[in-house]
Amino acid sequence: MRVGYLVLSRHLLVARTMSSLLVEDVTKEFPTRAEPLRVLRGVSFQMQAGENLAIVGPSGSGKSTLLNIIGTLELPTSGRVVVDGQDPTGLDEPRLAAFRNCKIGFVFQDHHLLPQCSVLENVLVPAVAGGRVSQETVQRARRLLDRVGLADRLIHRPAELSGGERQRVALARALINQPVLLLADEPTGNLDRATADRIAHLLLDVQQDEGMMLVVVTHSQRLAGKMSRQMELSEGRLQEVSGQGLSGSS
Amino acid sequence: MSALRLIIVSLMYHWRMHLAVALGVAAGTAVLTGALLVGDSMRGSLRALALERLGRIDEVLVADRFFRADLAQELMARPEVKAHFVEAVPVILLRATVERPDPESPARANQVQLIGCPARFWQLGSGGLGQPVVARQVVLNQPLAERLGAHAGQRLMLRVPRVGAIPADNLLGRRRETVASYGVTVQAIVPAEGLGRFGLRPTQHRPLNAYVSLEWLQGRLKRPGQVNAILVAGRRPDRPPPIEAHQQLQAALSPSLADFGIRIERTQRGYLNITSERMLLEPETERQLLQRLGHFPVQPALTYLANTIACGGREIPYSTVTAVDPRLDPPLGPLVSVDGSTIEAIEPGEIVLNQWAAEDLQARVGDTIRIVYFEPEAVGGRLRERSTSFRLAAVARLAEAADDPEFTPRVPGVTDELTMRTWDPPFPFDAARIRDRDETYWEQHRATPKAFVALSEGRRLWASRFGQTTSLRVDPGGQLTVARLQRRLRLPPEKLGFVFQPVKRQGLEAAAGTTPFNVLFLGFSFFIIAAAVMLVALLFRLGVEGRAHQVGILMAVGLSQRQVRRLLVAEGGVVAAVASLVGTVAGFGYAALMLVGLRSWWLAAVVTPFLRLFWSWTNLAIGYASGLVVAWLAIAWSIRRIGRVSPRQLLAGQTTEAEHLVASRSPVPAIVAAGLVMIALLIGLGATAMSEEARAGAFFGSGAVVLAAALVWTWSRLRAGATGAAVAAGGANLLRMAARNAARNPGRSSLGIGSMAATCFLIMSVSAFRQDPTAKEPDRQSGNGGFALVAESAQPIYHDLNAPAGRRELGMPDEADRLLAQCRVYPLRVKSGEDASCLNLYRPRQPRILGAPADFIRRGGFAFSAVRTDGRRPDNPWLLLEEDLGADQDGTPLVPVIMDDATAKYSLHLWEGVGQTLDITDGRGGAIRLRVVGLLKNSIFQGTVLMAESQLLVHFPGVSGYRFFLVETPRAEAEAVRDALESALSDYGLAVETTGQRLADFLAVQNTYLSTFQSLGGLGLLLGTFGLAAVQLRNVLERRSELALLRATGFRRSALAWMVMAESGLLLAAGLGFGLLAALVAVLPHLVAGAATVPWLWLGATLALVLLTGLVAAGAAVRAVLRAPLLAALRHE
Repeated sequence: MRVGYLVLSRHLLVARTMSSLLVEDVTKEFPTRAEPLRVLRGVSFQMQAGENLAIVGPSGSGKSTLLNIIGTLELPTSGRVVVDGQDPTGLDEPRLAAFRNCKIGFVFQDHHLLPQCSVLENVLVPAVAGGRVSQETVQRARRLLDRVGLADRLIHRPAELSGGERQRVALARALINQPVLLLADEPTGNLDRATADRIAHLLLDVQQDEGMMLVVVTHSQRLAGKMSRQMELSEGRLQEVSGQGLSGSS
Repeated sequence: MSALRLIIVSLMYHWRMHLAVALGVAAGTAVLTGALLVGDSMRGSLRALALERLGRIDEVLVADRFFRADLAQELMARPEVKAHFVEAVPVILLRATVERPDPESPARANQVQLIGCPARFWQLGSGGLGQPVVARQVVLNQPLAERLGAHAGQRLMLRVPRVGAIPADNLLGRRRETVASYGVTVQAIVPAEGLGRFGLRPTQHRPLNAYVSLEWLQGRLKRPGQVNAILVAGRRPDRPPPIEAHQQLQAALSPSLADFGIRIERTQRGYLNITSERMLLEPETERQLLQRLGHFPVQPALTYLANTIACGGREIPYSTVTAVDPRLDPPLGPLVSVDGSTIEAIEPGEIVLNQWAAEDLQARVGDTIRIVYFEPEAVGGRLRERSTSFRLAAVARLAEAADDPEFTPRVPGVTDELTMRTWDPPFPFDAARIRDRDETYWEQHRATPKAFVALSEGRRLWASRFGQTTSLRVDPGGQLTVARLQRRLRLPPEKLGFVFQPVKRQGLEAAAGTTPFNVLFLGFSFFIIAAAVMLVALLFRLGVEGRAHQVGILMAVGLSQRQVRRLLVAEGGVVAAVASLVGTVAGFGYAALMLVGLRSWWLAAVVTPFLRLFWSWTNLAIGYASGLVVAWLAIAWSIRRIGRVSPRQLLAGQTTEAEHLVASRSPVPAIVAAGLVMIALLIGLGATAMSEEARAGAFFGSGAVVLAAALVWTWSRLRAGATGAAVAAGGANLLRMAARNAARNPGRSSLGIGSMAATCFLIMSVSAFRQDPTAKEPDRQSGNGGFALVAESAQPIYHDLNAPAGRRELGMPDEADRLLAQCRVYPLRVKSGEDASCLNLYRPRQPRILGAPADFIRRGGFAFSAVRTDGRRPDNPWLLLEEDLGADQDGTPLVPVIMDDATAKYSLHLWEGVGQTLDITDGRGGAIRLRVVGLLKNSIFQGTVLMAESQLLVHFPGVSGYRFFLVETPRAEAEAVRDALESALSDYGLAVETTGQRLADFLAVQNTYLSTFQSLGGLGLLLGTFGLAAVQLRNVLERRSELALLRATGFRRSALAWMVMAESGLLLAAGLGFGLLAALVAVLPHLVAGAATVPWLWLGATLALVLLTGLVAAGAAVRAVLRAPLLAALRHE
């Protein structure tokens, strides 16, 4: 099973070499009783397939807001986000949902697993949004769970799993539809150090195997340090901290 | 900031939630109050009706004989009467039949109340006729006109009983041509309002009234100046006078002897002869007379008719025989023998012939003399001939006391005839037997008795319930005149049936009603109230959960759990107090709606659309307080667990303790479910051997067990997560996920399904108790007793319908005679009284009584629900009616009776049933105590009390003839027999119906109650769906982060909405489906047997509406949730 999965991954890697993410002059303001609260001030960056990026910054700096805008969960006040050559800003709700379903995978700090569904069913949930679930998708879910080390927990309920295991299920779920962009919001925030390290490695391994783009928002320097690029969001501006290919700054 | 301030600002800030809660509270209170107001309306309407039909009439005297109309005037001349009453109007009240003799479409109305009234009658109340009724014309009330299809100017035929003085059951009473017919023209039609619905018996039915001129009716009845009733009117139409007024009125009543039908005449021989126009002096009258005659020499005599006096081969036809103890002194005696000696005494077994008879028979002292006579009372219209032999003790000279035609009372058609051959007696009479010498004797001596026997012997043979004395012969002792004796013999009217009834007082008492409609409608509205309470609890809980973090803050800053709960309950209390007030006012609307229902869809429950809205402050207060308390309790209950969750969890928006969604695979629930199914099967199998009613209960129980099994099974499946894969290869995954979501909270889902299923089961399975007996075969051990037909006549019938001779006497055509020859008819005597069936809403005081004849008692039959056993259940419980129970401790005679179970319990309120007693007034104004010895089940006798005919005649000697008939006939012939009877006995106003139809009429009330329960239950179910939607909303709110996650992974809003709707639909469908399944188990055996009828269309529409409403309500809730910001949900904000 593992051999089959690697063959498929390499094939995908080739197919996705053209994927990219462009974030261009994104601003975000929230209305308040006084003047609007400006959270993001002209944030821009871009990345290519196979790249990974950590965004760090203090609490309230707008990291999660930026991630949500990239993940189309929130609209920017201005600027644009182009994923895989497509700007989803103008899409209506059904198309936007379909766009998210196909292109983007999410991993949240809270795993948000459906407690009533088994591990395998949780991984398959995004596939349901697309319509019929094929046998191939089921096989892929099994392979993904095998890949994250949960091949023997397929029928278990989330309540029967540890925090790290739940996060691994959430990771497998994020990958089921083979997204071009994987967004992780504090994926290790609720985990102990050892488990956090294992999840971090898994994230990177999977990202490399799948050849997708990975954006991780985190407080954890340890996790951020494992990414090839690191940027810091401070006072609404994004700044390259280290790494190669710095292509945007405030 | 004080606690009060906190409550006020919270109320204002969360006004939307409170508005929703308030609507629920208001709905519940409105239903509670409305149900109570239905009770008020029932009592108020019955009271209004009682007042309306009586106008200013407070007291009524109805006698069983005719008396002078002047008695009314004499009464009003008394100052003590004038003090309380303003008018006394004499009237004639009779039961009549009215026909529209149209050859093409004749119409007939039986049991019509004929009122012969003077013009003054119409001033006693409203709704009257502005002018007097003209002679030979009739005024109809609207219901009677409608029944006949009559209009002003139309010719009608009135059939009225001939009012003979001698009771028809007596030998000399008239049994043929007992009905007279008079042609009349309709003068006017008055609406059934005010005196247009005049009636003495409390009932909500619209009576059939016909009004004629009093004078004209007196003329027709040959009763000039006489009436049989007096109506006494007071000053206030809305209130009866004090009870002392009634007592004074009764005390002022002073009828003369003539009013009692008693004559006193001085005879040619010089004694004063006291006789009755009824031929026999009634026992009580005789007792009262003898008491007052004191020391005067009195000689009671009983003169009877001998069909034959025979000695050897010789006989004398049609002679009178007098039973008397001979007196020695004139003018009452002596009887002198032909040998000149005085006959001092006649011993039992001896007879004295007069000289003429002895010579005619060539009889000598010591010879055996045979007397042939009819029994004194006709039984079933039949007169039976008997004979007794005597030893001839002496032959009396036809002179002195023996030559006295005054021994024989006047008998119209006999004693007033010039010749014997022209007699027109009411008994079988063969004029050919009359010889010339008999005519000579008649010419010379008239009805002078030809023989004398001892008084005791004569009474043994010829006394009856009508009396034992034909005359009291008083020796005036020289100074006593007729006038003086009359003054001396003032009789107590109350002992002789001249009793005023305080009809208005009784009517108002009866208006308390038999059925507690407030309780009934509270029961019917149970599901609405329950649904409203559930809604209140759920909505309030929902609102509080929406404020969980606020509660968490309050607790985090140091408020105790109790303080927080108090704040919330106080907040809810304010809402409940205001909303209950609104609900109380809205209760008028609910009550009005129920009354509309009772006037239309559920009319059969109250028979006539007479209900109007009435209310009382008391019930408004009770409604308000009940609504408030129930709502407050529901609110307090809904938040009982809110303090158990930690402040941290509350701050995180969590309101229940964390649930561990781990599938449970315990086999116990499945085993329990299987066990319950087995129990249901066993009950079902056992039910096949049960009686019909027990079977209905058993199948109902079986259905309930099936429902329990289904719920246990569902709960265990949900707990095990065994709803199939949530996601699998292929389509329909949203539906799969919906099913799995339903299993997310097995307890809550099972409860939702369970409450829907239980409600659905109850409102559908009561159809099992809906009965249609119209097609039921006669069965001796059932409610029809094996009789196919039941008939009632307006006028008594005296002839035996089972005997060819009786049918001939009744003038039956050949075809009817042929049909009836195949039938067996059981005639029952009727003592008129109030209808004590469920069709009468007034509380009866004096129920109608049927006299069960001996052959009916021997026959047995009918289903009994309870019988006096004395250790062993009797084979034929009817025989208990013939037991002599003697008198109770206070001396009141005890009479065994059998009645319908429903009549005993619901109408007469004899809740303990067998053994319980009911005091009623007997035929002479005294009290008798009816003791229940058996209760019939769902019988055709609903509304009446049955006692043995012999007992009925003892206590109600005035009852004559038969007016109730049960007919055994092959079912195939039933229709033909019915038509033949109705047509042949139309003069008697005979109405025949199948026993099935009669039972159906009674059951219509019960079936309508079931419909009401189902209708209001359906409304409750509908309201309950909003509760289910609230549960669904709560589920969705709890899962809003999951739903947001699904949206984040690419689910469209519409897809999620569909999924949540499918979840609601599954719960609804499961609830309704299980309820339906269990109801089918309960109803199916009845349906197969054809005993139950299910209103399929109505039930189908209700269920569809419930499903639709549930989905719409759930959909609206879900849409609101899905509109919530996605990110906030993901962050648990």
